[in-house]
Amino acid sequence: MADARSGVEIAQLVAEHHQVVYRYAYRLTGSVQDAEDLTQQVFLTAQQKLGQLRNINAAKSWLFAILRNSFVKGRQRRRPVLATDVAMDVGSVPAGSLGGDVDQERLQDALNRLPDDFRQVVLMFYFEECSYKEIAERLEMPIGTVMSRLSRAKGHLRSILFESEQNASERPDMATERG
Amino acid sequence: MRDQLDANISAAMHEVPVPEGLAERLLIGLVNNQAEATVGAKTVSRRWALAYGGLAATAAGLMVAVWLGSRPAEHVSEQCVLDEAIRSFNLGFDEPGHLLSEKPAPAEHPLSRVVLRIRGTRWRHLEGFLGHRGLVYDLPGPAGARASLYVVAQDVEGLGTAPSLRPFTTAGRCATAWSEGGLLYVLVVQGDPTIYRGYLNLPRSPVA
Repeated sequence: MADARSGVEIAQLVAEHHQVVYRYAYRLTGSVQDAEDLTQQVFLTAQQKLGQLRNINAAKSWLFAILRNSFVKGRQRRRPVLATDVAMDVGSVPAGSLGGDVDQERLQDALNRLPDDFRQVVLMFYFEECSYKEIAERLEMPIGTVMSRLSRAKGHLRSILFESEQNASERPDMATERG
Repeated sequence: MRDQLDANISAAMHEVPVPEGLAERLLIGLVNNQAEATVGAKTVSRRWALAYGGLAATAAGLMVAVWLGSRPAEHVSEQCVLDEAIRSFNLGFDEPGHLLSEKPAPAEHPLSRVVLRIRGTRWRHLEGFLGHRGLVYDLPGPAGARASLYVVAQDVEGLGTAPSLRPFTTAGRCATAWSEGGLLYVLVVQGDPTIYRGYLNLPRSPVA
């Protein structure tokens, strides 16, 4: 059994962060059951590595990093969607064209269609609200790659979301192969 | 660079309903996992393994009871609530939230009946307010003044049932807290008590 101190700390982490971790997991996986499984895996890993958490104020970022790693490990056995499989019509949608509320179903649909590595970058930008530089540092990739992926992925999101306001029949040709 | 659409998408990303009882299931999973690791590390009989399992279940129940069941009973003072709201108010926010006139706020955290309905009021979700989730209403005011109304489900001893006309003031902020419909309301206003009172929809007889 874990000692009392670690038991208390992990329970505290669960109490304070389980909702935001679950929401992030849901956006990554697109499934309620997968999101709950992934959330459980995040806290199991956190329980094992609790000693690595030096600053309780950084707990959320730390849990998010575990979440991303757990997600990637879980997907490695599956065949990924290649970036080139996804047609992203970046230039077709004006940046400010969507002024109202975002359609949740279309948002998740758009996320689900993204390749895993693109989805990861998009969620770090939109969910964690990281800057390009922070994303590059945390994923250990060149900032140019981050900018390129974000640009294409944002175009993809906008094209699907914008479509709901304009004309559903003009949907861009998206590959639907899922990992 | 983030534009308005980015802000809308960011806000929408967080709008995911969380399943009921998730925290309890996570904690039970953690305790069971720890118990399995303990049993696995030792060569014990089946009888002892079952005993460990029972112990794990009991421990899970205790952990859940201690960390989730006892939270509402935590003593939080009115001043603590005001300080937290002012701190949150001073931090500001990245996303503007939803216009109340375009998208109704969730019914479980309604706008207070004693706060004026002001055109341009927005609402957004609130995380980690003294360990609770809730809602914030951001109210525009005269000459660029602003106010925020924090709404969370939390019991605070000794609170009145309406906002005071004599708010707590500090560093250009006025704040007051009250209970209404089983919810905690905290209003923080940028400005002096006169501006503060302009946000209230009170009867003629003052509520002190």
